[in-house]
Amino acid sequence: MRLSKQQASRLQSSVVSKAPSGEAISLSFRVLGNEMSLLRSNLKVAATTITYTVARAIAYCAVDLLAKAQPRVPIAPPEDDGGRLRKSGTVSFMFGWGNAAGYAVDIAKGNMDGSINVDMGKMRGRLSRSRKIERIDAIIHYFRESDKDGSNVALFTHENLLPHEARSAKKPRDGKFYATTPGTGPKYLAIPFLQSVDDYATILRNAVYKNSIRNISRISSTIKRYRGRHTVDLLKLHMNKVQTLGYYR
Amino acid sequence: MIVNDIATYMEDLTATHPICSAMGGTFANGVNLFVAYEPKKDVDTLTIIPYSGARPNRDKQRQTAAIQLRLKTHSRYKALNVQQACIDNLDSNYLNGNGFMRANESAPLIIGSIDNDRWTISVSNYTVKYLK
Repeated sequence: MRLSKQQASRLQSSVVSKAPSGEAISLSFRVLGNEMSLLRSNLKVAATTITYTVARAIAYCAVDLLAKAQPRVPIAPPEDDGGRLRKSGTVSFMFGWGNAAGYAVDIAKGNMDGSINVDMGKMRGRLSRSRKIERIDAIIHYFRESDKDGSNVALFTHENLLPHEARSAKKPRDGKFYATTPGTGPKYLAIPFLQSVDDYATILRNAVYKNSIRNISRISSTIKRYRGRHTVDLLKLHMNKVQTLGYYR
Repeated sequence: MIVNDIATYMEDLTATHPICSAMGGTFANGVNLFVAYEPKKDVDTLTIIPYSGARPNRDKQRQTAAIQLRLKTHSRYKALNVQQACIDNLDSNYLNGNGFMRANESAPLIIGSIDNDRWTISVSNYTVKYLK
């Protein structure tokens, strides 16, 4: 229910009770129009702060997972054009509202040597320009097709759990097995995820229940106002400070 | 070991069970059902392969294992049919009290073929919670 300024300024409640002795005790509560405006503004900033905090926590988990997956991704030697699967590793960050598709930005990319490059600035820019975010997704994906027959190398490499000596695919040139770099192997994305899923759940839970509250207090200030004989402290949340909160707090 | 419990459960399925119906017969360890290793046999085989799962709970009694069912078969239709029957019947299955099995996907994956397209390989993945 939306109240007009006039209605808000007249919003008041009063309670009358009788003490055991029969004397009346009264209490009245009144919200002024400009305080209602401040309340609406604060609620909007608080909602935005929670969205930013949760979005950063999700992005942190996704980037962390890609970093843990990359060294495990199988890589062929340079003479076999190795490294394409590793270079395809990407973290896509998506957010939307209602039935709209929303926006997607790539915030991290894998390198051939097993490291990753991260650019959170793209996410920050999109978040600040989008309103009323209702859905946040982060996807880590790999893609590579076989040059020979177009089969899904990323999928086969991830799901084929047989040891190399039990596989039939060998290089026609020298009869050796493909991509046998030590430390790499199948389930290169699933295993790091299973090992870290409890930590990610804790990070996301803390983002909602602890960090959001802490961030709200960081972007707040008090305004002194006079009400009759009394001085009251009003709380104001600043929208322009939300982006200064940082990504790893 | 939970992998052996799953193998025992599959062996005990009757011929009318949906998984056995899709497979075309019952399972027998060492004949068409294998654990951890898929031998080169000229029959359709189902292999139960464990892989790294989540860490144990703090009390170290409650474990979470990750299991893959790998099917090797001549027919792509059978590759999907058997795996879908496994997902439908093994998801939320208590394995006769030995653990609680959950499917990680709603549909099976055909990951490719081997031996010059003679055999089609399909997989489905599961998480199994059990007491040590």
